[in-house]
Amino acid sequence: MDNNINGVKAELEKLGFSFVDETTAYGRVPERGDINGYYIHVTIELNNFPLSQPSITLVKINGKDDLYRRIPINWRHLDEIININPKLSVFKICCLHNWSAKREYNGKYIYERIYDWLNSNVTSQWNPEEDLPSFRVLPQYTNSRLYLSDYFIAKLRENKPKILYQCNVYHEPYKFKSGAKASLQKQGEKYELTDIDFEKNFYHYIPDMPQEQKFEIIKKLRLGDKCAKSHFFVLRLPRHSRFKTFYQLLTIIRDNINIKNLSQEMKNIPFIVMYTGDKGKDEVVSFITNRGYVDGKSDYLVQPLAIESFSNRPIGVDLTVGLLGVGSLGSEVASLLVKKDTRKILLSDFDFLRADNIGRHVLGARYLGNKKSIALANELKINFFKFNALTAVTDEEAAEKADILVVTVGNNQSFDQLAFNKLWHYKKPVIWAWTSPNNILQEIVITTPSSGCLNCYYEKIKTDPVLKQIQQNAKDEIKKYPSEEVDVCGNPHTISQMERMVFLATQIVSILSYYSKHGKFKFDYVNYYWGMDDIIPTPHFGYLEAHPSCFCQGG
Amino acid sequence: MKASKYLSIVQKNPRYRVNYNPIYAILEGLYVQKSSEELQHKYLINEIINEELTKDFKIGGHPDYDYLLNEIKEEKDFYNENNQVANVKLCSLFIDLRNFTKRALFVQDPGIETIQEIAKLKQKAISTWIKLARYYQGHIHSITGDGLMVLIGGKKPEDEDEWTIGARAFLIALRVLESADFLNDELKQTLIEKGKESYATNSHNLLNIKVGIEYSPETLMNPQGVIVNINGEKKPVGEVKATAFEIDFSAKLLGYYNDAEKKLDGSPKYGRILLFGEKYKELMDFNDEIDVVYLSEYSRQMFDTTQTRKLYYMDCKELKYNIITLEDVAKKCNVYNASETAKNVSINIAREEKIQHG
Ligand SMILES: [Zn+2]
Ligand SMILES: [Zn+2]
Repeated sequence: MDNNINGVKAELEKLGFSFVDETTAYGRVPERGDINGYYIHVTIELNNFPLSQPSITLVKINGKDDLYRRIPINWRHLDEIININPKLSVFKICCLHNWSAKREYNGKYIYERIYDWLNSNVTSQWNPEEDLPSFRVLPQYTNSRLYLSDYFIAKLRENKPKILYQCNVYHEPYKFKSGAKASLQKQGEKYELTDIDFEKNFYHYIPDMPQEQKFEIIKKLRLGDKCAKSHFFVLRLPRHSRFKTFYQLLTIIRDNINIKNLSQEMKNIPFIVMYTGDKGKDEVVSFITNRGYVDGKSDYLVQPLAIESFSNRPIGVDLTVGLLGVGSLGSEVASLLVKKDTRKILLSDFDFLRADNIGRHVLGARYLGNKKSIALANELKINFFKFNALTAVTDEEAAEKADILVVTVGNNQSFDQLAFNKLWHYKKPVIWAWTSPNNILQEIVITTPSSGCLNCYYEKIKTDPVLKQIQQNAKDEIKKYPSEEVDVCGNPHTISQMERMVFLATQIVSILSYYSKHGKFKFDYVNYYWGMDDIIPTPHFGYLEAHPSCFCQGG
Repeated sequence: MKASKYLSIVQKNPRYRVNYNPIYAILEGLYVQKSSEELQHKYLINEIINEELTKDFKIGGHPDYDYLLNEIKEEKDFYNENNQVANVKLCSLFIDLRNFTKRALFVQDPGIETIQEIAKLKQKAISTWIKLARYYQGHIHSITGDGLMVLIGGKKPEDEDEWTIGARAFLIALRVLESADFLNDELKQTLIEKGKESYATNSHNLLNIKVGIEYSPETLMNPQGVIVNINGEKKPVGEVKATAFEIDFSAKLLGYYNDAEKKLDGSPKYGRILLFGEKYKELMDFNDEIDVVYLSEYSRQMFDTTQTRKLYYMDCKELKYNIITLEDVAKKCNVYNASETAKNVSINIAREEKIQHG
């Protein structure tokens, strides 16, 4: 390791760098002359080299260190680290993407990367590999975050440029450097920015959006009832407004926007600002400034807030899926379907969550005694913001409204009721799934009007040599281990291996996803055999013909 | 919309639901393993084909009507209508390697291909088509110079629905056109290995396959041949033939191949054209998603009468590799399922195991 760093130091020294301490080099790029009239001074910190990427700080441009205003607005891959006063911001050069400890990443390499970075900036010619599409003008290094929705952003985009709009934003009451706590009654903007402690306390800012259910929910979950409120200014900059540093941004705002006549009570001023980023894409930034900035009476002070937004993903499984049975397996299917962004999920189960279900079901202890279908619909709706995607229904409603059914009901009788009575002449596909004790054998059968029926599958098991063998193997394996555990009250419960249950759920969801894309199936049945200690199941699939001796064929 | 009982045929015969292209199972073998799903599908398809090639497989005649020849005791029996079957619904599919004969002309000069290589290429094509035809339960009526005549239809349960007969012919035709891609890839590879890369890019040096289909709803199945005398015993020698204008028309269609090819856009142009007659068009009733193009008219005079038949073609470029199951074909036709629903009889569940549900 030491040899490593000494080599790098020697190489950098050869390129004119000098070491200000053990691991920090200071030097000029290019070593001599300039590129299109530009040269820079940088420091290269080699802490934990080579495992940690060298940290490169821009110190001067053409010998001047007033970077906060000097950095050209079209320069890129430069990250501003701001600590309240934007005049004191540190600018990190981002030119070592995908760093890893490699012998060829030596002192010369680091120098060349900085050289290329400067060259790209002054010529505006970027090598696509160096130019990450995710790059933002202003980075978001802070622990406090503001949550925005698509709806909010869309509204913001419609706003007239240069006009100040306002919105209420909820957040935790501020805590002060003095140790005191803000009152809930007082608006958040009525405190001095410099008094608020943003170091030890993280705040979550949630705009007041009564029309958006998800914001009501995160407000309740994140902030509870005891939350404070601030007035934020919302602003869209004209497309031609370009800047690179916080200082430049604040100057644009102050010189172009009318923010006079503020109430004397306002001590800090929170902003949400939309501007046009480097590649013509909209970017949003949020920060809180001091009153003195607006009045022009003191230095600018800035506390940035990181912005997060909830993705509005396209529908992944474009089907209405009816789940008959949302027990151990069915609830996992429901939970995955929600995460797959399924168009609509109908849940049917007459059962209530029992004590022995805890740990064998998606639902946890707080739903004990609740009806599984209703509780699961609510739980998934709220956790994943799928307010319209889930509904608890009856079997009949599910059968009527769904494009496809998944049957994972609890016992043979209910299974037979569905298979040979309620769904006997059903015209839409049905996925039947069940599992043995210890999940040693898991079976999925898909019946459609063009396949055999579920009983044809039972008939096939008796005659198909491979299926017969799998059943026999499973029988032998199941026999070797206890199938039931008896609880303290003497009630028996079948033993499940939950990771295999989850696996089976993934397979059902994959089948649904394929059906959604292609309108057909890859097979009519699939078996997964797991020896007790197997980590990988052995799959076997096939097609299900109407069996001549099945009663569906009059046999 | 046309009523068809195709679903009840699919229900009893799972090969028509297999959602994997048999051309991969036949031509890639089991060596190229991309995934365990593919491998299992290849096994499954090869099992079906192997069974078809052992179970009363023969070339010539028609297995459902070959018994007619056994009825022949003497010459006049050939003419006896009791030894014939009329009004048989068949699809006639004619496959031919285009411009193949000329390849053998160049074995000496320039001597790029040997006669053995040419024979091997043809054998590979013919055997692939036979396997494909049998997979979709077609019968090899005859092997011609560079091609094959396949009859689809007969007395088996899968032949009970006439649209399904046409759909099976369609699936065979698509697979045969796909085989052109595989055979040409192999041919190009061989030319490259021989250092003749420039020939591999010129389509004139590659293979092309012509496919024609016509539907013959009123076919006469009749034994043809002679009576021979072996050790004093009279025996018929010959085979059962399908007689109808439409049966032979599938071969005639191939004569219009060049006219159709001229109308194609893009390249390559090989393995794309399916030619068919008006009876087949009527049978299939393709919907708007399929571009059926009118090509020409076949017209003949006899007995002071003019008879004409229309010819059509379709470009299968977008259909190849996409239409795999019988239900995929149904989605491209104006057809609906008219299978009877199962009758209710006493329920007797065959499940044995004690199972735990989810
Ligand atoms: Zn970067
Ligand atoms: Zn059945």
